[in-house]
Amino acid sequence: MAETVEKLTTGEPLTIDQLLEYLPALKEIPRAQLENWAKGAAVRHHYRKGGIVCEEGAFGSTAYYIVSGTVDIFIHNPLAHLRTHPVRNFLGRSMRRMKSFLTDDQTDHRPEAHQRKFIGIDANVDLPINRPLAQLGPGELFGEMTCRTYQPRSATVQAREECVMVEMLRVILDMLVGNRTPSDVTKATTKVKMPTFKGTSFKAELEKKYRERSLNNHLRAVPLFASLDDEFIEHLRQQVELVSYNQNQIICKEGDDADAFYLIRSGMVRVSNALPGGEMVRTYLSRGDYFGEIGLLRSIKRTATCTALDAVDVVKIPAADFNLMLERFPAVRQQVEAVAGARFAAHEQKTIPAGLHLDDFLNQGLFEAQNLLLIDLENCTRCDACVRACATAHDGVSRLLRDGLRYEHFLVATACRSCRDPLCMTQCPVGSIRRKENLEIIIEDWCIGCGKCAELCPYGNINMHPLEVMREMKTEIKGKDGAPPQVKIEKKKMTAYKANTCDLCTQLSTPSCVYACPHDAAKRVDPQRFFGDAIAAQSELIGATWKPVSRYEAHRTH
Amino acid sequence: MRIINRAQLPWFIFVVVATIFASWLYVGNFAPQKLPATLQLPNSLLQKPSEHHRVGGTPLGLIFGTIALSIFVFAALLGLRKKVVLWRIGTVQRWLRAHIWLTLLTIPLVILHSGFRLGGPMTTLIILLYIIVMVSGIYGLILQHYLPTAMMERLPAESVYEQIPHIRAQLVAAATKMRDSFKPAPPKKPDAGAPAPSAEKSVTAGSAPMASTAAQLSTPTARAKTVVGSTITAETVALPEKKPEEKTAPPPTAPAAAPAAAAPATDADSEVALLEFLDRQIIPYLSAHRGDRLRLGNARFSEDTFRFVKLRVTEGYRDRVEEMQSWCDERRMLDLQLKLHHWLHAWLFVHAPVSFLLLMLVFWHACVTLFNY
Repeated sequence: MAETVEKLTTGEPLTIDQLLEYLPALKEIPRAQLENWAKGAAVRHHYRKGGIVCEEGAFGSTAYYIVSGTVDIFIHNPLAHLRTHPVRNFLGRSMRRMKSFLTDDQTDHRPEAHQRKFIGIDANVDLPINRPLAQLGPGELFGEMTCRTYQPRSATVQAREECVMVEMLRVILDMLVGNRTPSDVTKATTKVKMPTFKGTSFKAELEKKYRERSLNNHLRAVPLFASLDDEFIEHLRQQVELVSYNQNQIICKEGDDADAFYLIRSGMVRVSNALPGGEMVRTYLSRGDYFGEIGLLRSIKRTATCTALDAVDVVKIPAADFNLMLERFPAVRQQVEAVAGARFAAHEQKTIPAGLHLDDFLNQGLFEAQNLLLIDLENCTRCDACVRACATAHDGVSRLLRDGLRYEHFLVATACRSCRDPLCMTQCPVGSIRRKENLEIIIEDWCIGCGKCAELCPYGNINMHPLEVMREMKTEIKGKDGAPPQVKIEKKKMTAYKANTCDLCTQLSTPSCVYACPHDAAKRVDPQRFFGDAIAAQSELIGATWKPVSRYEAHRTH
Repeated sequence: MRIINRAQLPWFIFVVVATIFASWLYVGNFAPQKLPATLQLPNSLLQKPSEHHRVGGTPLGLIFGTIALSIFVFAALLGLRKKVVLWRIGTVQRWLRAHIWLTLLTIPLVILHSGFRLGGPMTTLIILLYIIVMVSGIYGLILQHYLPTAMMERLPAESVYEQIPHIRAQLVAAATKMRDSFKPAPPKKPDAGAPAPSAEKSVTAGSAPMASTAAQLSTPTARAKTVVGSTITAETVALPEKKPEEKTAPPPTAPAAAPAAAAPATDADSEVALLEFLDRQIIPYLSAHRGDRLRLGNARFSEDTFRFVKLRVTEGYRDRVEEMQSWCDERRMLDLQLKLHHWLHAWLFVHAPVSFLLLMLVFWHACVTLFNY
């Protein structure tokens, strides 16, 4: 208990009776369990109008329940991405300097732009992409994912009026909505043995609200369903099943019959294929993404295994409804087939070439890489022209470091590798990091600058770029002589952060580092093709099967 | 840039063909009798008679000179091209290849332009500078052909060049921290019945061997005695017993012989020994401007020293010795990297400024010559 009290340092601690008053659903939990586990695990907060409840990007471990009042939930960080362009001077475009600046998708439309219409956040509501603002009222819960997985807060929450909230630790959340079975690793490492909570009527209430408020948006946000009429959407809304999965639980397995289509409601799903010697991760999907369409469309077995990376909630659309939809809406069928075709082709392309058995190749994570910056050490005179070129092309900040591990006579430089298992994408609280078909990592406009992706990249290839922005701040001024308080809005200069990584110099024909190398030493290559022949030849000699190692372990050997 | 490379073949062929063509023109014009009839120049390529006696002043000589001057100008533009990295006018690699092969082509052009004569003082100076530029360039080319591979083989891990001073400072800081962690051993209380210890007494096990390494090796005589084929022998090592507070005092130069086989050291003795070793050998080596000039800069010597030191400290301190050895190994590697890096790039300090001077003088030569033409 001492540990839990330490986490809730602000607010008024609630007694069990007060807690039951605010969250009556907890009455379904035996009193003894409440006395034993819930004491000191919740506090009450009073927020005045304009008060900040939590800020996007901040780390936390608690969830909030709104007792009274309404809150604004929004994203503060500018809705923009970083773009690098030559500086313009009196002679026109400068040939010596490039500058990074913020721009949005409307001014700088990027091919393969994400077709999302909503930003999935850690609450029972989605934020429209063009104006990321929503309201939550009494009886709503937010911060569930942060509480469960210690993700950074996905949005800023500000009181619209006088609010009373209960901030709770995970134990209360588990009591309310049921706890998820912890993974074997968690079980082995945790010292505290938690009882199993099945959840209360609160969970059903939440699901009801989700069906009423967010499911419609979610279904509409799926490009496939964009052309469905309201009647069918309503039909789907009634028919779909809301299913929860525990950490590491398999949602659908490669080779099984395809029986449903899935839409992710919350959490992160890993899509992978079992290959001889290990698992190869294809991608990660987050809130708002969908999977399972290939098997249904082509009437084939599942082509990949989808596993819950953490506590995952999905919307399951049964095969019968999915097929009914395809029959009734030919336009949808065409669209689904196009998407499935692209995914299937990508799946085929990513099949491993035969004979990758080399330890170094695997231990250094090169197998996971799809695009490596290699420096041929037999040619390189260590002149650092590549680093200077990268810095010049990116506002004076190099996105590559001529340092790293060696493979054969190549130095694997520290620059984005376009990993097959992009760990950087696994914990983005707002799902703003994705990969284009050309392997470039894209940071979407709604990046909140929390730095989780930079922290997760095992190779240190993501940087947080500071930018000066004007931010609107609301402060409440007390009214004189009983006059009502007024909200003062002022703009302040603040530093915002946006994640950035090697953009492969997509605005230029060849990456600057490669173009500037005078000695034919810097190369951007697909490692499997580049080393393919040598690896195949050596693997035949060795005759061993490969086993991918954890990227984290490889990282520690740096 | 690796010059012996299949990718260079087209350039090589071009230079050879251009050289042959220029030579043919030269011989065909100035010594047609040396050519067989089938190789005689057609009339269209024969230059008109000139009143100038020297080859450089003839139209053909001027053509050779102008081409050479143009190549010099182009070669000088490489420096500018490297600075403007975002300029998309051909990769820097192509520019460098052109720089190398075209400047090599200037050798026959300059020789043919000069007519195999040095000429006056001005042209002699130009030729001298040209030789310096070409020799330094070819020297740099050879270095850049072989040294990268040597660096790769001899340096298992390289550091970022700009970070080397920082890493060195970190090594010194680590050594200093370790030194500070060793507390000086309490002074020994003399036994009532025992004779007073003499300053030259052979030491007991523990601090003796360690300190002896530091002390003995600091004198040339001792070094000659103790290092046999760069191997330090235990028999030759001895140390005067020293109190901890005397650890910074200079060691006696004529120590007594130590026992051949060292007795097991105590922890306190090991600490004193390591303290002395750090003060006398490790820290000076790690903080030296030129580490390769110190004895620990020699890999074999260093290995022998550390092997010996390990034998003379208790088991619990061997990890520390290994740590010190890793610092010294790293420092040696940094020194080697620095040395090879300087070799790789130092020639440019001759090549670039002399090239600039040469270009200025060649311009001057061209202006003066054409003015007086």
